[in-house]
Amino acid sequence: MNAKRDRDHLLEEALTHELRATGAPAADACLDVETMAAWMDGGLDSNAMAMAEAHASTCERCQAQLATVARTVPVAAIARPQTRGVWRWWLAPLAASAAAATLWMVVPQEPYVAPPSPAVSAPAAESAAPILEAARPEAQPSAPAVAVREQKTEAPELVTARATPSANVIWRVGRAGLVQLATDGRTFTRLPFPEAVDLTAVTATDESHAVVTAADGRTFQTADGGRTWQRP
Amino acid sequence: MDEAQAARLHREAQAPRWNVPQAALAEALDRSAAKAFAGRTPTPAQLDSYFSALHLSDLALACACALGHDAAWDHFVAEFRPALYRAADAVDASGGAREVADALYAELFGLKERDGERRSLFRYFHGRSSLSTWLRSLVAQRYVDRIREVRRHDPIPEETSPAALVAPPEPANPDQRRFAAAMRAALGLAIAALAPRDRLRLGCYYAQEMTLAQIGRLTGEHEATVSRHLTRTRREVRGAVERQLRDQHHFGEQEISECFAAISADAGAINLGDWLERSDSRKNSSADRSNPEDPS
Repeated sequence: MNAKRDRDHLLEEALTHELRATGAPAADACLDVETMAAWMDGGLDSNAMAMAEAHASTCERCQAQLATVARTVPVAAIARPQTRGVWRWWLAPLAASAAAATLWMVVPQEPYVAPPSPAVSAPAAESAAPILEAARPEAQPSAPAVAVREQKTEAPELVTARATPSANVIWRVGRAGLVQLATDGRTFTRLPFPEAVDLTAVTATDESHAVVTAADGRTFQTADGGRTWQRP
Repeated sequence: MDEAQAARLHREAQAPRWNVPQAALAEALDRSAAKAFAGRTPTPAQLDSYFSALHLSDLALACACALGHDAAWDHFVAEFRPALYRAADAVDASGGAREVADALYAELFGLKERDGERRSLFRYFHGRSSLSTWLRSLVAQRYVDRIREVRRHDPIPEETSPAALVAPPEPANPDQRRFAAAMRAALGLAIAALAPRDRLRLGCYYAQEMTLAQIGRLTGEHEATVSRHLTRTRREVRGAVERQLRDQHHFGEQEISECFAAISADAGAINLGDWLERSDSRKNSSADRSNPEDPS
């Protein structure tokens, strides 16, 4: 019965579809590209920042643009520490093999409770530093946590993006050629991928067709549920 | 800007590398400051501090490209195109954003003329961000606008088409529409009453499906802080909605629960603009930040 459903959960549902569909009109002119870029790079003073925030908070177009810019932040810019010293090139094959073997063992195969359904690909490395519920002192036992979008993966640092073309089909990609597919909305199976490259984005139309993007800009596509991959 | 300052900034920007005249860079810096201090008169110290914080070498490169210097353009293409493509592919791996990125080159090069003068998009780069971020923002804006344009022109079903003939199902509960309308109004009021940053976090998280880390980069907060604020804001919204339903509509607990359930079963959306227009305090909080010249 509806009345028994938790109000917090219903409120989250309402916020998702009401705010998404509203296309809240802007009361004034939208942020231009230069202002938006300055915002992203911390180049706005406090006054300009406050004005930009006030506008974007009511403007779906500007929010969508900010979200799109945020999704273009490269993996390396977020998660990769700068390495110093000379790279031993001859270690590369060994390191890649070891990393691939480690990932294969670490990546979870057990059931996974999927979060609510983002239908677009998320950018790289947003889940590199997950928040634990325990770290949220304000969290109320009765209130569903807001920070659930990336926390329920057992190895979130490996997953960099995902796509949800339908309620039960979820594609996830990550570092070192990680590609996973769930067709029941919960249980992920790791799929073979031809290279141990970092994957930063995925788009999918169903459980068979997906396109993934590697950190070096190359794309790979599959039409058979990830059994084989081709360069477009 | 005095001559000594212009010379120093010209040197710091490595503008001679691209044969950018000092006067051209000074003009670009003046445009940048005019936008940043719109309506205000900065002190010399503020101006100096502002110029020092700019991405000067990127600004010099943009100036050179806007002037049509071949070496600068070649450098730009070699250095920035791969990053631009990576960004485009991160937005849309099917190639849609890459098309947008490719289409930008003509505008960046300045093929369009205005009053007989070649106008390059680089003219609107002011150095407050890196050139890379500005390009990513440009691609993002064009891509989002294209998607919105396509959505706007999606054909409406013909009146006799099966899609048009399917009537929306009548709600099982006859009060559902009344509850949904009351809930929608209360929710709109509650969201409009939020502080801009709280409302921004909410929109970014629920409407744009940004991650906590992405929102944190936008607001300059750690993702744990974003999470806490989202939890608090949602609690405030729920409280405000319940108060509104209780006080204005005189609903009891059972009816309030029905309102929460009704809105998830009812199509439609709040018109945030309606509620914001009723709030005078918010009307004054924004100002026109767009550059009337900037086609972006």
